[in-house]
Amino acid sequence: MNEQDIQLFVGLVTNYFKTTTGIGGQIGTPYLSNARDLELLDYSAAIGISGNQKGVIYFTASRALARKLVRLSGESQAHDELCADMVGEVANTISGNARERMGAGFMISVPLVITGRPDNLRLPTRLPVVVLPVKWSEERAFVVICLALN
Amino acid sequence: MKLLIVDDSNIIRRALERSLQDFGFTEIHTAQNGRQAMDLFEIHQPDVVTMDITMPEMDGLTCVQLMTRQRTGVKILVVSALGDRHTAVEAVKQGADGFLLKPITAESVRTSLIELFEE
Repeated sequence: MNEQDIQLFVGLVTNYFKTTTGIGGQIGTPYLSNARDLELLDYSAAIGISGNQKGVIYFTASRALARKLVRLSGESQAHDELCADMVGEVANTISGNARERMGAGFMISVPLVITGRPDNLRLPTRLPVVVLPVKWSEERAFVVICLALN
Repeated sequence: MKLLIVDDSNIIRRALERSLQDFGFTEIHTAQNGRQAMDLFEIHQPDVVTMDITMPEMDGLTCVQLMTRQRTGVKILVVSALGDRHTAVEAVKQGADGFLLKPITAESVRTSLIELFEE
């Protein structure tokens, strides 16, 4: 992971919120972390990365943020299943969009979605973990990027 | 005209269905993976298909290839988050008529479908 990679994901996250909601998300200062210290929120979705890179990309969001996104997508009810699905779709879109720069060898898995706050998170232990704090419509989320060249 | 929406995300299937409700489709069917999509494709013979790529069971590009081999004239719009040029080119090679990059909006979906028929 280098600075250009981080900037790529900052741009993709901003674009996601701006395009789908008309409200751009604010991305805080990215920081390095590790699996033990990560703050996970109410819904989390993981995308496994393989091919020219290896690792995982997480999107984790508060219930309030997920519900707002679901309602803005046109749903009248923002129940648990739809919130979890929405978080999975955000993770999938951000990861898939990254292929514009990472290339077709940047292979992404289908999302694995976790509802509730897991005690621990599976991340490759030897890879750097970069966290992008997201604030959108006064609600919180994080994008967790754990990548290295394969 | 019949529409088949294929995406493993329920929220995307529902959003696509809402976006395309006013297009005059007599039937709208939805599938959550490639295998189910192929079953529904044979049963309902849709005129238009929106197709995700990254899905469990069978990926969307394989579906596009199988569908266009089975029946000519079906219009297929690939709706995917995969942002590289290679994927878009590959989708067209397999027989897709258009490619819409996620994230989507109701407007981008409707515009892409109109363009599909203008071609």
